[in-house]
Amino acid sequence: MDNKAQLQTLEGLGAALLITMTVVIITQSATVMTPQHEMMLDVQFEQMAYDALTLLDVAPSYAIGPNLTECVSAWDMKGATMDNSTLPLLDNALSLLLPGFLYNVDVSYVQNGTLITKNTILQGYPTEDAAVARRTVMLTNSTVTAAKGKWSLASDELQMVEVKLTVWQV
Amino acid sequence: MAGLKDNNSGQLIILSGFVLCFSLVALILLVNQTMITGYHSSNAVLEFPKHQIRDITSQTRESCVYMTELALDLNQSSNLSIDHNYRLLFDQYEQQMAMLYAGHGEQVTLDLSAMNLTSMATNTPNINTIWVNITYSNGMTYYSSEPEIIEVRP
Amino acid sequence: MDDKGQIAMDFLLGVSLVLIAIGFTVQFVPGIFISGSTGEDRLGYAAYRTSCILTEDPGWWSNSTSSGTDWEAHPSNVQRIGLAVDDDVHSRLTETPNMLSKEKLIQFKLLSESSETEFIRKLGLFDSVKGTQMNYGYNISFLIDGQPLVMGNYTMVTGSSLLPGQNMVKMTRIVLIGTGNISVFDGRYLSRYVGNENIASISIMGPVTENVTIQITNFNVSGSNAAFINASLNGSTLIQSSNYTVQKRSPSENFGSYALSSPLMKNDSLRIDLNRSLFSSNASYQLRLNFNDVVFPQGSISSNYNDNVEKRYEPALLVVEVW
Repeated sequence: MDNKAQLQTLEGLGAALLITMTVVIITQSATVMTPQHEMMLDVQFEQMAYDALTLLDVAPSYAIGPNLTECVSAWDMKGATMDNSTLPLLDNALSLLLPGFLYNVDVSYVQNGTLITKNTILQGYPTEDAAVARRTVMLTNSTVTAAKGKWSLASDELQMVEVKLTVWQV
Repeated sequence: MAGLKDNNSGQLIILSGFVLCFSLVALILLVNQTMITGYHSSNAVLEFPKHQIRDITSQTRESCVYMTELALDLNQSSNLSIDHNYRLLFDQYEQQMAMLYAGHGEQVTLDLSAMNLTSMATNTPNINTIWVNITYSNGMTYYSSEPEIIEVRP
Repeated sequence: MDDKGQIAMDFLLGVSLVLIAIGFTVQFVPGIFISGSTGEDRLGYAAYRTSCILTEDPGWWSNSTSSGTDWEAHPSNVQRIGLAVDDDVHSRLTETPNMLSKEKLIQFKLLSESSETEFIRKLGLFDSVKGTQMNYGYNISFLIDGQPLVMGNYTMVTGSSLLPGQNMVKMTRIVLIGTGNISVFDGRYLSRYVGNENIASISIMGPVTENVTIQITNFNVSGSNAAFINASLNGSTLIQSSNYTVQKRSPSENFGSYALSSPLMKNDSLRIDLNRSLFSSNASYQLRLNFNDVVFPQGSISSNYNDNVEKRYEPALLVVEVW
């Protein structure tokens, strides 16, 4: 062995160090770039939206106020304009359950074989990461009469209504 | 190696350069792969239609109970039997649900397969049951509950 | 350096060092290849799964002879921890998702304190790395109006606190939490105390195990100064805040604290929460609620708290944090 080549051994060590460092740094920065956080946030958002609708449907009246069926039964059948909702009861309840969020609510129902969709709460145009939740409720003549709504239903008629909630945050 | 030893034009360096190159490429590929799998698997959580399935089954349970009351009321105001009224109501329910879900590309079929409501008119305290076949499909997930047995009380 | 290319010894040493270092990295730092992202993903799953099981499942217990969803009554045989209320403990599909039972919540807290390893195992808050169990750090809390819920002697926060700089995944669920009992009356039919149309009278049978909560909706308002003045029990006036608290809800706002004698509208709801220690003996208590400009009907049958009592649920947040 000669004693002149320590430099190459050191170079080897240095190179090894450099490569390890680069790999570590790259993988670490790569995790920041991955959309994982966003994905979990999407799940979280969607879950919140569904939770709000579920809660409104199952909560006893003393806890939050009128439930989802009662809110929808009381609808005056008119479309909403910006910040002027036609489901004020639902708007109230949602603003309590989803503080800090913006939301739109559409209702869909079938009438004479066609599917009709109308805006009932309109707070703006959802951003890209908005979450959507849907829940169906059943209206009958008696629920509409009790809530003083404008649905016209005969006593042997059912009306299934789908409430679509779009939630986003700015 | 003997050939290489006599040679002094640095093939070893080139060779090791190649080795390093390939190992780094392989490394990057691996890292990318894991990122893609991560993306797909967490997407799966979002895509399983848990809420839809739950909405359909719970709504069907709730509606069946309510339709029983309604059928009973209608029976008292007309001559039609409870069963007949019930079928009419269920038809409406089934058609509207199917259309609502078709509106966002999901297929729902609800089928009243059997019912046991006749004892209701005679006011016996029997538990009455309704069998409904439920299927749901969104193209990726297929769910069926055949039958869903629903207890309804008069 | 000589010019014949035989430096191979040192050079080889350098190159092999590099290769060994790469090999070492690949072999012993698996984290790079599982990648931080999937690690976080697992946390996400753990948090999501835990929040779902807790809010949507009633839980399960079983022993050699019997089983059911009422695990809170059989804490030693619990198989799965879930908090959703269940109407029928022996049949499936009778639970109500997002509605959490008070009894289950208390047992959940007790379980987490008595045996943490069991608790972590039952909730699946761990990951196995090469056969050894690696517990996740977690914090599960129940919040009402941003404050941790206090139930009896327990603050409903479980787990440890997060160390700074750690990756954490958080799931928040909106739930209804059972917090005791409530009796809801319609103010237009509440019975009048003999001799004064502005005083409502409610009888309560003691002893009670939970605080007595009375909610009155709809008031028959007779003047412009409608207000709630005070409450008295068996003739002696009660002291607000030490004996009872009052909250008001208007159609546009949620419950907020109500100062005695402040204005009351006909569509408001009033919630009066009386301390259970007031009703400790086995006797009937007469509660009188004194109003101004609110009229209660004459001749109606005496309103009874116990006939009307039901479980009280309040909107709350369940926050699951895993790291």
